[in-house]
Amino acid sequence: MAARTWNRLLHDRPARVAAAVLAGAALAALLAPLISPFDPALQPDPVALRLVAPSWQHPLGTDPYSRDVLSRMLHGARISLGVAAGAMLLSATLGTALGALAAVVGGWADAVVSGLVDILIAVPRLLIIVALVATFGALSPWWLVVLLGGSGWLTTARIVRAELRDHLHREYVLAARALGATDWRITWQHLLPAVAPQVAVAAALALAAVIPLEAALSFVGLGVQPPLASWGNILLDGADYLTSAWWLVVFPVAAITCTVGAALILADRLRAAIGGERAP
Amino acid sequence: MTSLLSVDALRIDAPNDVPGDAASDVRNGTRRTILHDISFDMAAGETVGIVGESGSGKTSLALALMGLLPHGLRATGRVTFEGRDLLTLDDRTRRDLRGRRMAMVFQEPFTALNPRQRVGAQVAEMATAHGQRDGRRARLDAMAMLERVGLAEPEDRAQRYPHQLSGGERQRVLLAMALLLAPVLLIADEPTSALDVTVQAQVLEVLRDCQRERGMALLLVSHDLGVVAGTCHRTIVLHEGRIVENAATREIFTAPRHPQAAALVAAVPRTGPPGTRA
Repeated sequence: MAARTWNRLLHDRPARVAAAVLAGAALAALLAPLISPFDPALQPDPVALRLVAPSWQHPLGTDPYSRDVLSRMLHGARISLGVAAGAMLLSATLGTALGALAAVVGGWADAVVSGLVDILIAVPRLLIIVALVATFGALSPWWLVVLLGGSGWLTTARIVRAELRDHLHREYVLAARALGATDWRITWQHLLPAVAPQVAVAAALALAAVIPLEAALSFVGLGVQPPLASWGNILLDGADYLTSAWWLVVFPVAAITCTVGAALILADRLRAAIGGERAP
Repeated sequence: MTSLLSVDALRIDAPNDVPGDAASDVRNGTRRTILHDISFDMAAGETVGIVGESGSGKTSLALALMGLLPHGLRATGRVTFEGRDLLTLDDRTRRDLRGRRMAMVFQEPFTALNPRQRVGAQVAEMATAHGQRDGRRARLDAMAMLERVGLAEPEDRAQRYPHQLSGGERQRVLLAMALLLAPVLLIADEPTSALDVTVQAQVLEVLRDCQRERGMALLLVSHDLGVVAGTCHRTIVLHEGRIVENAATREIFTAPRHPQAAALVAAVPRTGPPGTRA
């Protein structure tokens, strides 16, 4: 059945285009050290080579410090997408584990998890992160993963909890119990595979949410710290030259928009693919 | 004859409404009793039928014996199985008994299988769930059992998903799961009512064979007295949560004492030539 979902997805053109965009971005990020024409931190001539428009030498131009924007975009993809992917994995894992705990154990576990979700969901994510950064100072990318992932599991947990509570009342779960299966075994063998597609949708949405969040933090100087490049801080470097050096704005924004759009489309098509088999 | 299962004054209380609304109804103090003072014995290898109309408490009785009552339902009394009181056992021991010493087959063979797992894997899973660490061994045992319950082309069927099998095939898979670890008591809740008549007969035949072979006791829950008549030594008739008749099946058929039993007997369609009894 899950096989049918994937099959339907494989034959869905928007889904394939979106997956190709994300795969291309991931590949560029992985290969950045090999394919970048320059060292992303190299400032060859901050006077003569600053703010050079796109050319054969610098396909995406240079920034105010004479650094090559293409190289910074590629290395920035490593950080931006790496942080986003790490945060997505963390939030999907936390959300699934806590949602399953709430649904299967019930009682106090449900009260604690649901209560926590209700409280945290009311507080804007950006506010929590900005407050933490203000308290502890600038963060390494690893801490960004922890913060963004640790604040992004709420919807996944809600979805998993609701789905599992539904499945727990299905007869096949009762039948498994009647044959002596433990809660753990039922969860692992029957329940989690059943929610895997929904978790995948939630994860794609989490990815779409985290990319701009990291960019925003880096743009206001609270995220990835220079000289490390991220799509957000390339934008920050270009903020003062909006009218004169368009390439400093257009390329990072295009990269963010394309990856977020692709993640959203993928989430949407995946949901549609699952929807087609909801019936029995 | 020592009894395998002995039920003494079993009583199940429930809220007035559907089980889902248990909490609010308990608060309102409107409890209802699903089963009153149920007492009966079963010997090893015996076949006992439980009949009664919908809502008479048959399924609740079966679930109570398995320790699988829905939340909000409370069982009191004493249920002794192999010398132990099931109602006071801890969860872990109780769970270990399920599947290994006592097993249950459900009515709807489609919903009782996980739609996302190949059926062969689901049968083998039974062995793994009870400590069989050798996966190959578990698969071999599963295949042997699928063959034993008369599943045609078991090698092929084991690789399929539940929706690719017919109702009869699915019920055989469920039987294979229940019988895999050779339980001494099998509770079958309407095991054939979702099947058409020919398949029904085949499934009952498999049940009877396995039972004879292993000396397994069978508690057959059904609203269909015809099914019970052909299978059970003894029949218990439930009516509105009480046992109104507990006697040899033949006796109930020829001389039902309680009006409810008489009504059930009268409801059995006569399929033989005129003047004979089903």
